[in-house]
Amino acid sequence: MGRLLRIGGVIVLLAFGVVLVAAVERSRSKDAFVRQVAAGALPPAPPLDLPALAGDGRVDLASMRGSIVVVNFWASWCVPCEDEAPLLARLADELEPQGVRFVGVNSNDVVDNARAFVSRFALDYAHGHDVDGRAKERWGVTGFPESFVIDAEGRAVTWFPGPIDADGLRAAVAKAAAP
Amino acid sequence: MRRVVLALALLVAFAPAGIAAEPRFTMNEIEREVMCPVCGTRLDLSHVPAANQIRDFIAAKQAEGWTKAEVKEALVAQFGERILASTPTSGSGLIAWIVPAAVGAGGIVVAVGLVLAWRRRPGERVAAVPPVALDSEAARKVEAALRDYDA
Repeated sequence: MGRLLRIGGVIVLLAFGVVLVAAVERSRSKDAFVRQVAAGALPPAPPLDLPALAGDGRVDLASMRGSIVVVNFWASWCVPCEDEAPLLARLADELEPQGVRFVGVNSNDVVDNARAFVSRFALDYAHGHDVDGRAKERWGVTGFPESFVIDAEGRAVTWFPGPIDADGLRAAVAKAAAP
Repeated sequence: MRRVVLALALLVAFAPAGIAAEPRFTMNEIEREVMCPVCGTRLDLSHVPAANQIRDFIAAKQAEGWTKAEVKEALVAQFGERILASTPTSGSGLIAWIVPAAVGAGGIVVAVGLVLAWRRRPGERVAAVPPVALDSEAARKVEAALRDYDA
């Protein structure tokens, strides 16, 4: 019986250790991507394939390979997103003719409100709906708004951990375009 | 008799409208069953903008006469299963039910084992003590002490 108890105790301790390591690893991997981007390591952008916010289509970042893409995470209830939206609309109008693509990722939101937000600010580019919040997690996004600039080879060049600014975004796009 | 018939007619005419106007669930009830996806707490405990927005959505659907199940289904479609306060009993959600149950069962087995081992030890120790043979003097003293005790 004593031997059985020792084995049981070891199993319980091992299980506890596995859970602990998994939890630590999970929290580390959550922000690994953004830390790499911030360090200028040009990590490949995580997959982003979401149902479109409007209509039946999908928004797939992989299909935009070859273009510079500005990925913006937002929610309609987020006040800084409201402040940022008119600038985003203006910058999309300015940069899209130069071949830059804009993608909105709407997360943690009521769909009708999100669609109303897009229409109110004339954000006339593709928006995906991150239904279960997994895209947000994969990209290490912890708040709204957050944006990334992805180069033509699918590497993340710049991370904006808050609202973008016009000059900052133009500079990030120029950096992504540099060979 | 005429009055009774009139009363019944009125009851029949207005009862369905009365029932339809009655909310099919209360806000308090559903707010305890739904999570805030941003802060990870129950909706009734959260007052961040995202939670308020979901609350408004539920209130609007309640006013439209939706059932609680319909509202929850619509919320799951927009936020995924994580919006529900109770873990689903199918798919990957099943793990969340099985693991704690298995750990609990394992814990009970270990605890029972420990209790059994603890109970057995004193008996083993007593059995391990060799019997002591008393000489006649000692036996006489013990007898005397017992007699004094009984008296």
